[in-house]
Amino acid sequence: MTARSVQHDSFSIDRDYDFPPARVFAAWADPAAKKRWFADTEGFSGIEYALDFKVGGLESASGLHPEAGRFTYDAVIHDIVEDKRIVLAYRMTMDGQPISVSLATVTFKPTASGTRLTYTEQAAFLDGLDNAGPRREGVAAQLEALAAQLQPSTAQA
Amino acid sequence: MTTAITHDDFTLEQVYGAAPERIFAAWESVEGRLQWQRPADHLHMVYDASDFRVGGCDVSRCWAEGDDAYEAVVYYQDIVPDRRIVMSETVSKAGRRLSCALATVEIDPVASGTRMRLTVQIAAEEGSEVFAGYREGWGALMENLVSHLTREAVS
Repeated sequence: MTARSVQHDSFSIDRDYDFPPARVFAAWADPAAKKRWFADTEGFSGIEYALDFKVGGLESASGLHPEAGRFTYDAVIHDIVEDKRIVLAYRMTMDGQPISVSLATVTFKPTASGTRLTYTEQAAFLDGLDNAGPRREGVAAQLEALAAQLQPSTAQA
Repeated sequence: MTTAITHDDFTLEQVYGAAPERIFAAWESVEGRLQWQRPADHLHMVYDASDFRVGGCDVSRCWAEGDDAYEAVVYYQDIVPDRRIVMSETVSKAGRRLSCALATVEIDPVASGTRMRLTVQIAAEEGSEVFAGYREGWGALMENLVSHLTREAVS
């Protein structure tokens, strides 16, 4: 029998953006916009992406990494409060093996200079194939890519 | 959910005098779940939909006579037969979403039977009663499963 293990962990990231909540939220709600900062990751080929942004709607992303193989991401949206909050659950596989299931809560709060986004992930990492360290780095990089995408000069490029 | 969200988690563990296959079956079977997952005898519980496979979805309702039903929508995220189930869940009442949660069921054979470990990671409004409700509710259901397995064994 294959050894099975689950490591539960959680982490939270705050990221400030110089744009109002409606603008930041839209980058999570619009499939074309989200694909760019979320799925179009350097080092991956054959990227596929789809998003049906509604409660109960599905989101999927996949791409081929030259060393680690194909990664898949499949999410279902659990909660949406327009311009304020998104809660989704997602599972990931690497080279056909399930590596994690997570609940992600994203909140958008207005600040003097724009928006504070808080991303909290509660995760079950499966069979020792992933952990919170690299996951946190991956999410932080995506939130950075979102910042770059929101800048008008980048948006026109 | 409209106010600030906070997060919490807990783990419950119990050893059952039954094989892992029977513990897994108690989760897989809708009829089984209706027997041991009903929180109290005076409550009604029905399944409007059930699809026990990765990507599948269950919809169930539970209510006391004369009160609004709690509706639970469960998505199966990972299933390893006889070993593991991971699911995500939203609980609503009267059309209002109260909480989202990730639940992991780990099933491990031990000398005297099977150890089941349930970990629930919850997102809900600050101060919400659902945090205590989840913990107490699942504490009782872990016990219910003992009687359910005993009834199965004698029938």
